[in-house]
Amino acid sequence: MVHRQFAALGDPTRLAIVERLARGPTSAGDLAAPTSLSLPAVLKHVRVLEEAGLVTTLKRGRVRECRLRDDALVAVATWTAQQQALWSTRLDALGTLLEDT
Amino acid sequence: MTTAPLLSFDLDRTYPAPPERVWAAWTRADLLERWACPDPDWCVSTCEVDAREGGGYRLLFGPRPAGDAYSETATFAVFEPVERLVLDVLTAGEDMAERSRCTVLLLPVEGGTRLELTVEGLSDAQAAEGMRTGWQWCLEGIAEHLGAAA
Repeated sequence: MVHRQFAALGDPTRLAIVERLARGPTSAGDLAAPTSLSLPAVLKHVRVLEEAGLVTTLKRGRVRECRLRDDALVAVATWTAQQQALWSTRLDALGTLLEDT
Repeated sequence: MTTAPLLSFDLDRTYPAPPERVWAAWTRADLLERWACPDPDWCVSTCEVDAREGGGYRLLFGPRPAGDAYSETATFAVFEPVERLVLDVLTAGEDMAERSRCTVLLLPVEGGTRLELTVEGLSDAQAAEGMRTGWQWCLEGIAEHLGAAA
């Protein structure tokens, strides 16, 4: 799953959208306003973020509200913690090897 | 507030061995297989190294006895003997496939070698450099948001 989040965030436009949503929920139209992107283009990016589990959207009348999920980066943080544990153990094992040989 | 880096981390160790020996431990299959999978219940079943820039290593490891549930394939993006090794790593198993970039620096110090390791998560190797700056400001913004919400 986390590779999908990395992939979704590996795009400057989508990073900018996440940055904007980190300050609070907003409509898709407001996301498009400060950019040169059309509303359909923004919605396409939002959909990618939604499929990656980073963003939720809710249709309120004629407006689609976009919101950063509270747990958006939990999987990303978990991945990092696991990698850190793996490499820390490895480097200790490397130390043992270097002492033994 | 301080912002914990979610997508990268640094580790360092100082070993009582010259850089040449630490370098060999990363780039010789018979040495790499001895430390790459430290879990006593797991083992390495395959370890191959192509020790040159553009080469890499391939590991199969997992729970005993098969030891092949996971594969780790690394490409040596930078290969500067006994100083710097940059690896683009793909770790894959039945239920996952994750990419990361590892940078290994070996610094001669009194009585041994200081190893500095940086690991970054990334969507693909080519995007890594361009993404780093964006990631930093993006995550700082999110961390601020989370801090304010907490």
